[in-house]
Amino acid sequence: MRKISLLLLSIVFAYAINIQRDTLSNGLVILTVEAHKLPMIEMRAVTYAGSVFDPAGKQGIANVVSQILLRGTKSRASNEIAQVIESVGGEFFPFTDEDHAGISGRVLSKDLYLLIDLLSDCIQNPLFDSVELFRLKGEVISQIKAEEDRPFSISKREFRRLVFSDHPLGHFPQGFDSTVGNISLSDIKEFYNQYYLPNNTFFVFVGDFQKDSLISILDEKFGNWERRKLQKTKIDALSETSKPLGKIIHMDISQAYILLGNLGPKYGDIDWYETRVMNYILGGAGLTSRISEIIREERGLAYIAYSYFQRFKTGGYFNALVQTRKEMANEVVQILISEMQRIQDTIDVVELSRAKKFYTGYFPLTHDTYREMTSIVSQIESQQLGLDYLSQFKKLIEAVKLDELKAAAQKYLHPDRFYLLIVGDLKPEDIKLERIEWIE
Amino acid sequence: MINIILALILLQPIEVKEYNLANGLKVLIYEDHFAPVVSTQVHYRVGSYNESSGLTGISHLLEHMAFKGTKKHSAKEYNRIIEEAGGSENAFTSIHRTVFYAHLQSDRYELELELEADRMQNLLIPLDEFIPEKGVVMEERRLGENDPHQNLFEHLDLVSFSYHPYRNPIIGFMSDIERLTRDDVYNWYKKYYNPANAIIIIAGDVNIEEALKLVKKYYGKIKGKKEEDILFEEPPQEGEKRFELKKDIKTPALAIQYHAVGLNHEDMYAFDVISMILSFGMSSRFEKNLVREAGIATTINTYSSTLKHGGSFSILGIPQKGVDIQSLEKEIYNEIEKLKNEPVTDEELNKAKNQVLAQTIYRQDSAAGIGFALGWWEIEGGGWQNINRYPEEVQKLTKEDILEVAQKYFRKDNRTVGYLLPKEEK
Repeated sequence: MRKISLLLLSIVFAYAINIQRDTLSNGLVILTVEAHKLPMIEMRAVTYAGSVFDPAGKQGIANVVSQILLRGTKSRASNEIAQVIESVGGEFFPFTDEDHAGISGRVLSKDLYLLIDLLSDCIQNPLFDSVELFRLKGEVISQIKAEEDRPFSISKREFRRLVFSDHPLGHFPQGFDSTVGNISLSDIKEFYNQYYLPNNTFFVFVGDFQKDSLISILDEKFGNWERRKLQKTKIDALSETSKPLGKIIHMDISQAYILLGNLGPKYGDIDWYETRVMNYILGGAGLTSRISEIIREERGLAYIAYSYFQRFKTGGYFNALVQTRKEMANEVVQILISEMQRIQDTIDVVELSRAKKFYTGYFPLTHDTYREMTSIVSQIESQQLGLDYLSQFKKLIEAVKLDELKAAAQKYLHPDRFYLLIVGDLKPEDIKLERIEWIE
Repeated sequence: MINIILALILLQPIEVKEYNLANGLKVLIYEDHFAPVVSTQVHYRVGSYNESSGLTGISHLLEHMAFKGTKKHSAKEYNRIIEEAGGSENAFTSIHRTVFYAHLQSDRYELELELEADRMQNLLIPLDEFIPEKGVVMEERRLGENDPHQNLFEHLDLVSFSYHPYRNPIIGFMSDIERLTRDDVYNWYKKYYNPANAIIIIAGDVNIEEALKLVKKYYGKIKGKKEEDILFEEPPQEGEKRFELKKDIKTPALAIQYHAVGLNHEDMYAFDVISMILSFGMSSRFEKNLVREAGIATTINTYSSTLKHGGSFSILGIPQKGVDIQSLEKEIYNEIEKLKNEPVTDEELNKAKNQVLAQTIYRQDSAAGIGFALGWWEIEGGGWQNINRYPEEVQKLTKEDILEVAQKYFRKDNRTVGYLLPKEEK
């Protein structure tokens, strides 16, 4: 199965998911899944131009660039772009994450040509107008300020800063209000010219089209997009704290938002599946994980109590996250630390078997809509999971062994040296930890 | 216009098979074979609307307790059965509904039918589970209190509706949650959870005959007793109401609510279209004029809330840095006045109609989503069939309809305005 599929670069599943991968002569990769249940098409245009490439002092530029693509081209004003797509009920959204940026959209299938025509103009002929940049920066800065009033948002943002410090993963794609203010028109142009290249981009289309005619429209509209050598910025390796490091952001609220974690695997690291299954047992499984059972189900201390690993191309982190009333914060921190230790010492074979049953049973539910399919195909391409990933997933999970889970826990979870971020009405002395260094 | 005609041709009605068991249970089955997945849902006709003072939050607390075991399955087992089948299960409480669901591979959805039948008849609501779970719900309540915008909206409903139960938060007030006893919750369960008060929706990769057979097997013998809603009518508002909410925040926010209409009132379609024209998409009026061009707001969202026994039209605006909240309020009213004084353009109306049609198709991307929508229409909107009537009614709207509705409801005396402001320095 695997051999044949690699030759054809296409896989057919029992329920007819056929992912095809084509490349235009300029290096632009196009992934398609034809599906004719509904007269609609989901699309994502992804460039490897995420916030990890933001230069220091200009954090937030990747996000501003992806947004300004929709704010005017050489032949269309900002309002016209929105008007054209929305007048047929279509949608266009700019997006930016740490590794990628671009435009996602959807239209009724009768409007495929309109979508591609507009997309082609936005990506290849952006105007980069100074008035639009001024407005956009104002909007982004105000959004960042407004988010600061939400303890959940601020806790996640500050946790990232604590874990990654000055590393490019240390900021959210939005950047900081001070750095967004620094971004100039020439910065935007430079960033765009460096990263927005056909050979640094892939498109995903899922839905009601004929692949051959889609490719020929794309070739017509993007075939002349000039291929150039990509000057990739080197991203520094990460180093982890050697002792517990804590920070409290004061907010006059009734709860404490507690985030505790370590560095974690990045995309492509070979121990991902065991790490994922280990975390499922620790804090990833809805209400049945250890963290949830102890903190929420048995003690009733929190509504939200879970843990996850977040991965990027150049790094990643582990985060256990609980919101509890402030009087219980110390107790919750102690529970989290002891659970980080316990999972290194004991994992039951029953827990492993339950996790495997969940993952293998749940997998078809992760891509049962056009929209989710677009998302999973994007991940397959970006993380180079292989076009046969959907059929391989079950085997990858089944292969995970008990001792590998413990090894993953020992490798990534460090109860003696970690990052602890708390938002709430608390002081360092409220949290009883020895050796911890609190930073202002 | 051509686009609208084309889209109407593309728009196939959503086909649903409806069955009614002798005990009053309604069964809706929607086939979609795109993926080997089935969403099984039980929608009970009970929510915050049914709660009187002192009992707020009881439907939601019961929803939580419904995962805490029966004679057959302990609380832990309950969580694990669907998990081990690779399912995604959850529940939610709304103003008129309490919904339990699981999405599973299509070869095993019977499991959820069996578990829900057990849940409908045999909940224990044990006291040793009740006490910690109340703690969980109180933390959930605190989460909402600490989110400034969510808290602003809670106050908005509270001030806007003076008598009608739509004023109560679904999660309930803290003192009510604290006071509720295990027996209160158990009695609520006995009153509302039965086949005559429920709908079962099965959406996805199913065989209709087989699904119906399974429903009859698990639910056919359970006794049903329907509970009718008490009808509350909010007295007409005769003067603007204003309030301030002060929190530990830096960016203020503004919320405005007009009393509007309930589902199936002929004006509801115009409210939905007005909401689209004002705030749906980059080319909408608020987004284009106030966010991007004037740089006054960070976001302005509108919510047309048409419910079973009434409705409201709300606006939430966050000013951009350096813009005072009074200026934002004034600019929002300028836009509202435009709606009252000049007809919307043909272009705008056609765009909104196209957007409604396209959204109707996009929504069908998710069989589970259609399932939830069917439950909403059936319980709140006078029958699931209205899911198909809705896009047709929107197409009939004229510019005059929009103008008339704007003039009729967007009056100063009919609105409530709330300011979210930073606490004064201590």
